[in-house]
Amino acid sequence: MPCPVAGGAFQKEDRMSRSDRVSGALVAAAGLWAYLVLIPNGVETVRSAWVQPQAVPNVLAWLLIVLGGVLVFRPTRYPTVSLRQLGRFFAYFALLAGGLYAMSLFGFFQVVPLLGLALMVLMGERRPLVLLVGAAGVPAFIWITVIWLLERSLP
Amino acid sequence: MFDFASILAGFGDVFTLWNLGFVICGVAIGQLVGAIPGIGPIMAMAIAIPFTFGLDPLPAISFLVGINKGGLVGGAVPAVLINTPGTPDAAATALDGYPLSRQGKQLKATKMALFSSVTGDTVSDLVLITVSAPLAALALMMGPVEVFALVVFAFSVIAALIGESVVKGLIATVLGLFFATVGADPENTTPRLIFGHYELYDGLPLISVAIGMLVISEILRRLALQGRAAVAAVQTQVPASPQDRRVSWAEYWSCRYVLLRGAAIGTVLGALPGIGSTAAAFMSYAATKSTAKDPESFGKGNIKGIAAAESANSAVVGANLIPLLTLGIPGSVGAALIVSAFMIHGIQPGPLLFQEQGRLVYGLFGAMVMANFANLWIGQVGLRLWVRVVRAPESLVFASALMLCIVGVSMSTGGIFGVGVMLAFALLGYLMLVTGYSVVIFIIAFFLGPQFEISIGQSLALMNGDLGRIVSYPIALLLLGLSVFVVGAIALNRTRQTRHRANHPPLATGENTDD
Repeated sequence: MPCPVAGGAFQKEDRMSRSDRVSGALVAAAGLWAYLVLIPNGVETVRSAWVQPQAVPNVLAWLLIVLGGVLVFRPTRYPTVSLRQLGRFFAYFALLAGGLYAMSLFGFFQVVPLLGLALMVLMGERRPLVLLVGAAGVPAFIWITVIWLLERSLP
Repeated sequence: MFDFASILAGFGDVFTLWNLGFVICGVAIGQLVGAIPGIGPIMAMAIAIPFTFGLDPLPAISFLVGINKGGLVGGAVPAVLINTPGTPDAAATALDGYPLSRQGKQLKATKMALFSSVTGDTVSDLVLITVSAPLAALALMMGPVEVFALVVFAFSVIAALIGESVVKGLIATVLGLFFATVGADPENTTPRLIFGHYELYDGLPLISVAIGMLVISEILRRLALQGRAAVAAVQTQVPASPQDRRVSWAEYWSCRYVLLRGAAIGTVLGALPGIGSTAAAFMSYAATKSTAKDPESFGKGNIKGIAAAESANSAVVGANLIPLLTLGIPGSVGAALIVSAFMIHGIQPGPLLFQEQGRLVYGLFGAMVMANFANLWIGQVGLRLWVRVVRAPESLVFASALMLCIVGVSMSTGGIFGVGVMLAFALLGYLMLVTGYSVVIFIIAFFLGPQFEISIGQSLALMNGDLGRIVSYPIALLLLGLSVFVVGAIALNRTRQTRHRANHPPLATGENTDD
């Protein structure tokens, strides 16, 4: 009769191998995509050269396919990231990307106080003084440092 | 190579008020950010690099080196006070530092960390100053074939030693090299993989890639992991007696062998690419514990435990620059960031640096020595202040860091495009972090990629396209053989460890993979 504790550990082993299998498959797929699509469309060929411009990228793409394949079949134990964590990451990422897009439209100093405030609120900060420092103090510090001291411009 | 006029002029350059000011500022900022859990000197260096554009090379690089050195001292403060190392290097310091803090001896523990850190760092700097010029002279005898083999060897060591999986290390290396091929092909200057974005003709901006992968991805990973930024709460005991607030000379002297051993371990490991200061600190700690007369006192507040960890992790900083200055190979991510600062100022690190920029190199050495003194002085004055810094709200710290990253990258790349590249690499960096791929290996490979490709072209031209002629290059053959041996040996060792773990499963695993 199998030991239930050890059995549970083996189930966890399976679950922990999943991360490497998935990432290995993604790496191999990225290598294949680079070899078949990206490099042929993004690299020009030249008549004569010791190393053709596409040679090194092609070798690297092949290595990605091979190493990704090795990881799929010989995974290590690595914990799988939860969907909740991924969701939180993409919330912050989307906020930064949105802020960046707004900066390209309206300018840095018009957007950065709001971005700072939004980031801190998303992080769970509710204290008015801390929010004020983040939304007004930090942009003021940046303005003094970049525009006044370093005499550089911002978008 | 040994131009005494350059040596004297270089050391003399540091003693201007302007340059000394940047050394002191760098150390103070380093200690400050090191004391804030979650930021650390590497992030601070990455954020600071774009702000050093307008400076001359010496103050700019001295400032960054100061941040790195100060950060290691500052990192010990939260390790001692709240058992949360400000930097990974300080994790071993917490083993004995935190128990001392619980006994009301937090000032004794942080001061011992400061003295040990400065001792280890100074020993390592002296080794760097002594050996780097002769090693660079030897490195100058190498041709393109040897350089190619050396870069392959460096990749093998780094990929095999960093992280838990050799295959993942190799994948991170290959990914770094692949992204380094974006931009003009080094032999024919034809555009590659830029798809009409001529901003990428000179390649992906190093600063965008470095800040995206090292800073943004790490901050977002922490935020995603904990959900909401927690506010550190520090409850410190009031020291009972004046002896508990200071380190006496007798206590320091009793640790002299521990300090020297730590400095030696840190220097040797720091000179090898890929082995970080965290490994050095734990190795030194283990060596001290195993040779101690009272090993049972370690982990309960033995001051020698702090001395062992701090002297070793700080000794790595100076030694890390040995492969960088002599061979142009950064052995750690801190060294890679210093490389990017060199390159921003139009200086190519490597063996020629001593000939072409001897005065700057010796100026840098002088700045490193001065940074050690500054560390000691600022540490003595600032430790009480850094204790308060540990309580800084993480939401403010992280939001400020993110805004400074956007500003810094925008300044250095001249617009929003570079910031977009930074965000793209933050996404890649996050995915690599959560799946166990080393971003450090990626950054080092990305930095060495162009040099690697140029050396391939030059080697093929030298050998007239006949790879069999490599037998005429014994050093290159030896390095390539060593590369295969290192990867093979470490992969075999890791496989044995995995099998051992599989055959002896733990009875109860408390791992929680959800959050």
